[in-house]
Amino acid sequence: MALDPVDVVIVGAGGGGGIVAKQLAEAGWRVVLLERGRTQNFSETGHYELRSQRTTVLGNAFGPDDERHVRVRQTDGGEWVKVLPSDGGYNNIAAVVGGGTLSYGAMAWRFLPKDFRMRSTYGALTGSTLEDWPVSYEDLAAYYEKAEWELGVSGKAGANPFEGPRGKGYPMPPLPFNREASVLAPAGRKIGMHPFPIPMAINSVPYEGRGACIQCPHCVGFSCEVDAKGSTAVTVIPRALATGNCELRTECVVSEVLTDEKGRARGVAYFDREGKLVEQGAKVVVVAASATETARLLLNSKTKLHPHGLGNRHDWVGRNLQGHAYSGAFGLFDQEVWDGVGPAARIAACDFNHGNEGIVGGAMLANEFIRMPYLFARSVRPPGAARWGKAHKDWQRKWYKRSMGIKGPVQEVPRWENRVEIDPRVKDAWGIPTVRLSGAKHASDLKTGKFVAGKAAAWLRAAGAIEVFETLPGRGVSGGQHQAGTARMSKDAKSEAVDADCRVWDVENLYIADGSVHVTNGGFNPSLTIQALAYRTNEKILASGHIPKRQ
Amino acid sequence: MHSMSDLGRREFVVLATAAPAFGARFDGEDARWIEALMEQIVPEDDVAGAKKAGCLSYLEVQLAGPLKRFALDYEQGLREFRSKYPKFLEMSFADQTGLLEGMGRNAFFEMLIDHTMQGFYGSPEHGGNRGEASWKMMGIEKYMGGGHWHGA
Repeated sequence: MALDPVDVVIVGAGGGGGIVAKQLAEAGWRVVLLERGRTQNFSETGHYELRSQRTTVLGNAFGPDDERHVRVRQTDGGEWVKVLPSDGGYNNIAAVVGGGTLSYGAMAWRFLPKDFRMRSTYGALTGSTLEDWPVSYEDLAAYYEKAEWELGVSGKAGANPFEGPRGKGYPMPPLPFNREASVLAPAGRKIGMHPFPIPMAINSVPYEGRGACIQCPHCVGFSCEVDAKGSTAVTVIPRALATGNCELRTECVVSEVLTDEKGRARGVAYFDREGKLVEQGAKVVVVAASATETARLLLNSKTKLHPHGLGNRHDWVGRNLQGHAYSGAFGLFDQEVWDGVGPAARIAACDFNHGNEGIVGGAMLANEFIRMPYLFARSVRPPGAARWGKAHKDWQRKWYKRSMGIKGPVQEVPRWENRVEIDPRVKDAWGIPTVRLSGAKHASDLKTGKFVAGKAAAWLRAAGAIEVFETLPGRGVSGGQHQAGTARMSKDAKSEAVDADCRVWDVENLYIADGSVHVTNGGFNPSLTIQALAYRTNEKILASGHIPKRQ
Repeated sequence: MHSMSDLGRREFVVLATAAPAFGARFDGEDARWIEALMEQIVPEDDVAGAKKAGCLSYLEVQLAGPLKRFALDYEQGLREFRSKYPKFLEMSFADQTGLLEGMGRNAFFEMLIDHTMQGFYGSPEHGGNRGEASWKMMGIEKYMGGGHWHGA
């Protein structure tokens, strides 16, 4: 079935797609926003922790479901095994209106200027495809600001001495420190660090019709009970729909970007909620499906003109998959440092993002989000501690409130070998070939991880921890909620997938608006950068001349 | 936290249907074994252990749902454990602990550790943590649960 063509079809109503939808709808374009998930309300998922985005032992609260989705992953031993969405190796990101921003912790970071110039800063690195971005921090600063004001970010401008120049401050003051942050702030300063309140897309005061945070501890992994979190599901997507120019279609699974005989995108093919195959024509196509699914879609869209998939003339699509090699430490304290006041992550420092001798990059350090009792029981233990029995129970009882964690998203150096590709055999419930994931971290990441964990441990010791133990990243390829890099930007068409406008090199009316385009992924949670880029890409689309200007 | 399954869901459903003894509930004898092992994992003291906190009920509820991929592992694992340690239930609690500590890594027991911890420390809505026993033990009951706590 072929539907009447519209101006633009956007694949994915998440952090990036929601922004492009709103901007284009406000400009008067007719927009269809396709989402494979549903619109979900808080009451559906609550704070039932075993089925959340934090742990998926009972399934993914925000999709995708285990019944219809499958991927393949290479084990350390080189075997290919099937993985379901609730398995750790699946590389899941929420499949729901709002995407990852519905259940994320809502840290709203600007990357630092050097994060866009990793190759210039650190030089070529053997075994890595480390490159500079074709856009700079300065190019993005105004768009970061727009994202901060439209989504609603609370924070303290000027408190982070390592941040790049900013025009305006934040639209809201920072959320107050909880007990952990109050302990960590003076301790950090004592050892020469520069801690400050984490900028968060969480309302510290009522903002744009949404209420202030009630300071419950369930931010990361859950949707917000009071819509204080600036998810695109409660900010830009409702505004897109309010224009009357944007139609949101949920439970639509896109199988292919369709192109014409000249190699231009002419729309997409998708399965609607009844499983019917639908063609939606459009003058412009924007893919914002996350680094794994965007790569899958480009690679599955093969034609005579694009025999290896779209944007893939030089075999770069799906490569350079990166996430963050999280590293840190836990500390045990004589006194209670946990007070249950959310968002639990309240304090951060950027002293170790760059300038670390002998280290490529580094990470922002922040205190941890909620430690779910089950995850605490299974993963927060010093080496050699009891894993079950009376001693395990006693440890849980004694230390839960007397412990805190600090960790950081270690900036990974990208590797050509870390990749998403189409599995030759396995298909999902719609018959669409699924992806297989493979690769391993660069040795540099493990070294950086060890360094960052040491800094986290030092901060905890300065805060009075009586015992400290480090948590280090594994060797396997990462991705997950911070997945990026599979369709990177580049200055020239000889490599990579998209140009500096996030337009696919070999399809002139096809754009990407998610983490796929990140050349490197910063030492930060990447959502605000995805969103700043989406605002910028929207301007490029408007200026491209694909659609005549409207009043 | 849990193993990657190399079975697709469809293949799995076929196999699970073929497993005779395990539906949503363990029969009385199997339930006694599972519950004794769970109580070793989280023993009762001045606070409820796995048994009083309803960890078996958690497991039964979830084996009929999201955990059904483990049904076969339970059937085989428990059968092997029972045949290897037929006198386990007759042993004292301390002797049981000693046996489990001495038996080395055992996939069935590892699975049971994970699911018992889920039942004991997870939200009561999932079927365990009766009376919010674990949350009260940790002193965090007012912060947890359905999200009805409003402010420090």
